[in-house]
Amino acid sequence: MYIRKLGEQEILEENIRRAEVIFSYDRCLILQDIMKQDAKFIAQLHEGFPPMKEFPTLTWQNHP
Amino acid sequence: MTDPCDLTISEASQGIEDGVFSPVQLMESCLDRINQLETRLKAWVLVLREQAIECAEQATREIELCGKKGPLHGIPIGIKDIYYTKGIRTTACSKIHTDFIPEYDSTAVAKLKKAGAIILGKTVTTEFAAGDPPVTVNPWNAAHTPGGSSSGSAVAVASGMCTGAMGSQTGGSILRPASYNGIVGLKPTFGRVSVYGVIPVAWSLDTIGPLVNSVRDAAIILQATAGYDENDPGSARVGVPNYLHEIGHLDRPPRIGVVKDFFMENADLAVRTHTEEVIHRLSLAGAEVKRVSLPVSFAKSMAIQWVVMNVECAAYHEEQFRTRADDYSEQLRKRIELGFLTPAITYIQAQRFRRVFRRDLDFLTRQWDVLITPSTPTAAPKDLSTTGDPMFQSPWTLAGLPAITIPSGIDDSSNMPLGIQLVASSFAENRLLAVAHWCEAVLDSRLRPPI
Repeated sequence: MYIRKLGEQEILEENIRRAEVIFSYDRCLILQDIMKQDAKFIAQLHEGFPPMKEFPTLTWQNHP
Repeated sequence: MTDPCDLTISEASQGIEDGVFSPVQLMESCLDRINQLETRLKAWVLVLREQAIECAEQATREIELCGKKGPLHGIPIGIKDIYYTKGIRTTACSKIHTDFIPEYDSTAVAKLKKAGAIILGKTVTTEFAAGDPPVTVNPWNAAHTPGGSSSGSAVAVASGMCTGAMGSQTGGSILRPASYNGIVGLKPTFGRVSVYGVIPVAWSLDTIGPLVNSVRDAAIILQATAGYDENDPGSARVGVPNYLHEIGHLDRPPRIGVVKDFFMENADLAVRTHTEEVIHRLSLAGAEVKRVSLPVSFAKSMAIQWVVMNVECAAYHEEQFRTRADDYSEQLRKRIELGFLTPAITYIQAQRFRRVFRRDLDFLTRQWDVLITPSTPTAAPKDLSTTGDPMFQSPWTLAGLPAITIPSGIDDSSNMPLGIQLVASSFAENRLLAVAHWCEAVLDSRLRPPI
């Protein structure tokens, strides 16, 4: 695949690398637990794709 | 005789109309209750004593001269300290906003004032209405969380410090504290009530609504605050029905869809048993009750909520956060930091999945008068480091659907209140309130903390 689909652990590792660039190393250690939860949720969103016709739900489009 | 401050808005309004007491006496009753309890319960950021008494005196004069404007005239209301109040400090219980004084009222506050309500003060919120625990104490048992983020509003109403209060919900922050404190909480459809002048958590999730002592009171406040506002981009151009008229006119017993998937599975034994008993009582009273299944799209709802809230929250706070991260409480800080780390495409895909979810839930809720679930997985947890778990409210908030919690009983093991949650389709607050009113009458569970 041109763009690999990342699993939960890979998502976590990617986010840790990005966090180390944006935040301090100490802060990354503090964030580890919540980043695991975050990786779990993001991995769920990577399962499948929304239908191609779907617009995103943004504030001004929020009504059926 | 019941203290005036322990009456519902509707009862207090009738008391004023019948001349049993004046708005000043009602206000003094609330202030006396605040004097008795506030040191212990910590529900208020700011109590506007002098201003409230002046407003009550003015309301008394107005009512004597011209009669009442409506059921909110002369009624003391608490306002969660994320709502802009003109000339009055609005802190969001945060170091970031310690000295912030808005130059205008939020639309909701302006509407309440126009209806004659008196702003008694600003109630405690968790910091920026996020997940860090509040200072507020649960009047049922100080060892149990009062819930959040509308902690102060819930506790103030439950303990009689005001007759009604306003809150907000981005995940579960109206219904959860309402249920934990044994009162009614209403989260209207997204866009039903303007959020202009309310400090946001996440723009596409935030909804504001009342915490009160009865379903009728919820209808009274919704009637005053609902409606299109050009200042709020999410505000809906949908007509406002006469909620108060419809609330007592359910022409047949309701059709109630029971959602057992996920909700009963994640509730503790006490909540499961209690909810089954409640459903049975509603069925005996004539409700058509049938189990319904959740759509497949429900499985992603927690993940969608998580990503959307983190990213939108981070976007709002970015400017301040870059230089003042240390001034943020820990849980909020972590959620903002996650927002910074989330790729834009992940957020957009979440919002696209969300549209599928909204459509599926809209289809489900239109087949029934309401859906019913327990309000919370457990009674208020015995844990002051948390505001509880929003998992039972978040899906409906995500879908933008209206939901209400009504007190339904007491958990025998903890002696803490329990509630049931009713959910309706978009902009069907009239039906939701009518059914909730019917259920409230059947259950007859007006709860009061042992204060």
